[in-house]
Amino acid sequence: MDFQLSDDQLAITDAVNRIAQQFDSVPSDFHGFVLTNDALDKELTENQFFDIAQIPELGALTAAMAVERLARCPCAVETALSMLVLPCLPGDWERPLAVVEQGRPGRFVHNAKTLILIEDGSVALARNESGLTEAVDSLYAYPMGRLMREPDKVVLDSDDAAKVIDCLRVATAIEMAGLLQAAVDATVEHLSVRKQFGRQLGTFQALRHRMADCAVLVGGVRWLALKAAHSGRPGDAALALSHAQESGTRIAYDMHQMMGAMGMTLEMSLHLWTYRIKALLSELGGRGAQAQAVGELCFD
Amino acid sequence: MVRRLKQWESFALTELPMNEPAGNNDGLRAQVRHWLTDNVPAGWRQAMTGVDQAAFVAAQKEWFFKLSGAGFATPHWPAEWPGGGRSLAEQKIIYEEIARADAPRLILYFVSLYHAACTIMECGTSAQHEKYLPKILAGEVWCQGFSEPNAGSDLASLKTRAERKSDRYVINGQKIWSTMGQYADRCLLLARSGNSGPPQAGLTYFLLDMKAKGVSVRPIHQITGDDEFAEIFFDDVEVPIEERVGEEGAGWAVAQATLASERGLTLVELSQRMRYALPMLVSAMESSGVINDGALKAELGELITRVDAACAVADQYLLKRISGREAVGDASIVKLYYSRTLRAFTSLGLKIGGLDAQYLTPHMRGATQETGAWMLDFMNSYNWTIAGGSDEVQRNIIAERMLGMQREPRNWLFEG
Repeated sequence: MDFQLSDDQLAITDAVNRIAQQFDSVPSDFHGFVLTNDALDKELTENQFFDIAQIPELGALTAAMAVERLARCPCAVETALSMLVLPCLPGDWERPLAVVEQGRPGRFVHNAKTLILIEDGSVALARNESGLTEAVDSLYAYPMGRLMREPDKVVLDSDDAAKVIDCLRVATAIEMAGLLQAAVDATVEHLSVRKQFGRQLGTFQALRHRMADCAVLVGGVRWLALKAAHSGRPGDAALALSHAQESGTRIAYDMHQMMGAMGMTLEMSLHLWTYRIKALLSELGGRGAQAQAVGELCFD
Repeated sequence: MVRRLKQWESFALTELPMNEPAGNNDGLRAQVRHWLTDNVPAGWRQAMTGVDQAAFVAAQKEWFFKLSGAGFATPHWPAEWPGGGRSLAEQKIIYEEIARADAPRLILYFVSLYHAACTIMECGTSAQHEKYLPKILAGEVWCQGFSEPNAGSDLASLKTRAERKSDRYVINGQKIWSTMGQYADRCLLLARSGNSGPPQAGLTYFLLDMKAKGVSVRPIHQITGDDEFAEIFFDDVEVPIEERVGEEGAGWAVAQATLASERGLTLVELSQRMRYALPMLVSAMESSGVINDGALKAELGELITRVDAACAVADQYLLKRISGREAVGDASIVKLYYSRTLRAFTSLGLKIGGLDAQYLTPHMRGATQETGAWMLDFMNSYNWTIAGGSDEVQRNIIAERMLGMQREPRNWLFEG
């Protein structure tokens, strides 16, 4: 992959970064599980950032970079599906989007305007009408919701369905990359500041090596996801999400271990990223389904 | 699968004679088993699911009085006390049977019955014996005030001050991670009374009244939805000199007595509880329709082996203690084995639970680590690789004290 950003791409990624920076801190009075921010959503809408992928000079790669950066914000905003999946839906559908997989609760389902329904290999679309969904209480740092009844749906043909699944894999993988990076960043800061036995925790080699291993994994997740966004190849999408879901399990645990007991409380923000990582781990069939897809799509 | 688990249970380590060197304890085992059959509160898991801390505390008190009335809450106390005078081998049997019966854990009273009682018995004055031990038996709740925000793994660096003023000490500072601190009547407090010498040298140990003026407690809300820990703040709290344990400056040694008080029994019990909870995973596989999933079955098989090994390691450790052959580092192996295995156990539960495990399930109180609310169980397993000496601290102990490898340089400061 030739990864030389054009001036247009650089301008957009800089602009997204500037907006994200305004939302990078956790409100001091927040000690809960779900943190959202309508102002960020509004800002992105007004600046037309949800349309990045449809602009030929920018494309899915730039959109993926925006998703990765925004996923590092402590507030959860539905960006990945809107930026990377909405453009590939056949017909006219509105954001925000959400996925309902096998009828189970999903992220952003209650507030979504369009639902992507995945059931036993088939993919369908539905408009979220009043009374169709309800919010679900969850530990996960996303607003979760579920279907209340069977919706009126448009079932996609197999080609469209496969394309939507590919886009979902890329969107989930790049969102995971942002979450993993944010978790690593928060932990590095903790290890650099906290002292035990008279020295910063980050000077203990047992911890440094684990952090380095995790940083390597995060880099791999990010590059595979960007490559998949750029190439649009189904095999790349499966590889990207497979690596993201494989890496997420280890990194979520390691970051909590490094953060120690404080990371297990609502007073630190680590759970905002690790619980989101956990939510993404089991999406689209989880690691097993991704591994199977890699086998089918990457080998003759 | 269930049938195989049952067969395996009948060949459990606990039935092997090597684990009961003190003689044949079949009578005690049968007695405890019979009593538990009649007395473990039926449906307590369901009753303790989704309840608030106050209801949990009430249930714990009720179970404590039942258990202590039968003499099974204080088997480690000396013979002159009700239920006391049991050998370590007998204590092990009692805890194994409690695990087997899936009885509630006495979380509220653990510090009282072990840490407080054993510390007072070993290091306290006769006046402290007379004053506190009967109260503990009467249900007084104690908490531990050791860790501080900046003194966790490095406990000796704690900064809470104890300043001597004639016949009393004045305490100022903050403690954290005090289990059930918000319900405690008394606190085992380790505070700094001097700054000369190594950090351990300036510590003094107190029995502090949690109702004293200047004590405030704040529950800590955890990411599992629980709030079993508390922060304690001390603002000019006065402690009479009679409530000091040991000499001024000898608090570190007293604290070691506190930490050694449970003598490996906790991990014997918890390992056994994990073993008896294995069928829970099989039931979850059945109800989730994945009972024939080859990968999950293979993982379950591997887990059963690890759980059995964790039980064996805990058993061996206790045997070493009984026979006086315990070596430095043995306890670290038990702790490391248990924490890693618990993570594997709950991780498998989470895999079986799949997306459905993402609902916010009500918290089950008093049920150790295996509740079937898989995400909560899994996140709670993280606590065990941190609390009571993190896995990293245990690995350092094993490397330095058992393998004889050099210590990490203590004075190496990061520059830049």
